[in-house]
Amino acid sequence: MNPVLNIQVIIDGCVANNRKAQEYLYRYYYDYAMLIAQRYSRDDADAADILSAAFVKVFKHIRSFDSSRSNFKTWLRKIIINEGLDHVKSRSRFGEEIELDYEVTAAPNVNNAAIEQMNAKELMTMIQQLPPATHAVFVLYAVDGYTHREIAEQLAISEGTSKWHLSEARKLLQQKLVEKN
Amino acid sequence: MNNTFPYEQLIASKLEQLPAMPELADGIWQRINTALDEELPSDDDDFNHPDHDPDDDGGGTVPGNFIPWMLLVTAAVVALFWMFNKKADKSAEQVKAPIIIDSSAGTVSTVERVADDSSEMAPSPQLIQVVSDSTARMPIVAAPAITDSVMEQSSLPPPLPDSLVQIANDSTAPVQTAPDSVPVVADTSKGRKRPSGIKGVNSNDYRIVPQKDKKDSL
Repeated sequence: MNPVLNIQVIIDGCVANNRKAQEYLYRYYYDYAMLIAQRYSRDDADAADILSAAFVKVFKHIRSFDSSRSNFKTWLRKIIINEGLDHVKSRSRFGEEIELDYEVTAAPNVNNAAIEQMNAKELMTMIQQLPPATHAVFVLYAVDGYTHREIAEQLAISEGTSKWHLSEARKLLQQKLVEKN
Repeated sequence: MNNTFPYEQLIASKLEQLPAMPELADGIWQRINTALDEELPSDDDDFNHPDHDPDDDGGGTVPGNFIPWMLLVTAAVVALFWMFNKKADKSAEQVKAPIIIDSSAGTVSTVERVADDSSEMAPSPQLIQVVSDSTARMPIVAAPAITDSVMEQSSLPPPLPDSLVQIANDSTAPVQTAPDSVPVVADTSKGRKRPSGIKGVNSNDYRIVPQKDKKDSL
């Protein structure tokens, strides 16, 4: 990439619907964007679908991006997560209201050493094996830092349902890690 | 507040090390490019460079310049066609005109308007009336809008060079008949209406002289 060009120039080019600028922007943020897309995908092909659809949305709506209000990376991340959740929704039923009266009091008995021994790809594969909705809630909460309230709003579910999915994810992951060891 | 366990934070940090699969980058861009071509067509491929050569005057192969010329030529052709049609209509009007029949005038059997062959000399069309009289049939050159039953000779326009004859009511006036070459329409009423009255007697002969006058003279 031309070092003279800064990100704002590239964004301006994208606003002008310049294809080269759009390619610059895509390649500039590809690694970052692919990382997010992978977290919400079932496999590599699904991640590619999420990423391509997300970037098309980015270029279509880039005029609405206000650099004075937010960072482009944050804006891009939000779009990719939304696209990922749309993919998860398409293959899962979030409408079911699962209201469970429970409290998470104790931390699951997970061996950190086991996690340390695993590489990122293996961990990702393990998370991708969770049920789609549970997978999405776990990634939103544990990796992307959303609260249950935000998850509930994002997925149009109740906070209780979000908590249930998180609890379910922890339980399943613990089982998998135990099996692994 | 988001409360994550240490192992979850460990998972999150490990996921940051995921390989980005650079081998997919080109394929994904092709998909994006195709989608953008459909939804946001872009005519420029060169970023941060002028889109067009400043030396290019834009002529020659640019079809956009051809369109205004075509429109101009088409408009000119239409205007010429319209003008030609209007001229043709005018000349047709000179040839054909409505037939005016003066039904109130007993003496006028037929009034027809005919085209004057010498219209170049007399721009306005002439109305030629053929009057059926007891003595002769004579064409009258009259004004176009004559509808009065009494035709006054003084109101008639001067005769045209090749228009035919001016008629006088006076029986003593020399009767002029139309030359054979004049395209006067024949009197179609000739066979229908027979001349009435006695030959050599006109309306003045029927004047009644009051008796009173005679007595006074005695």
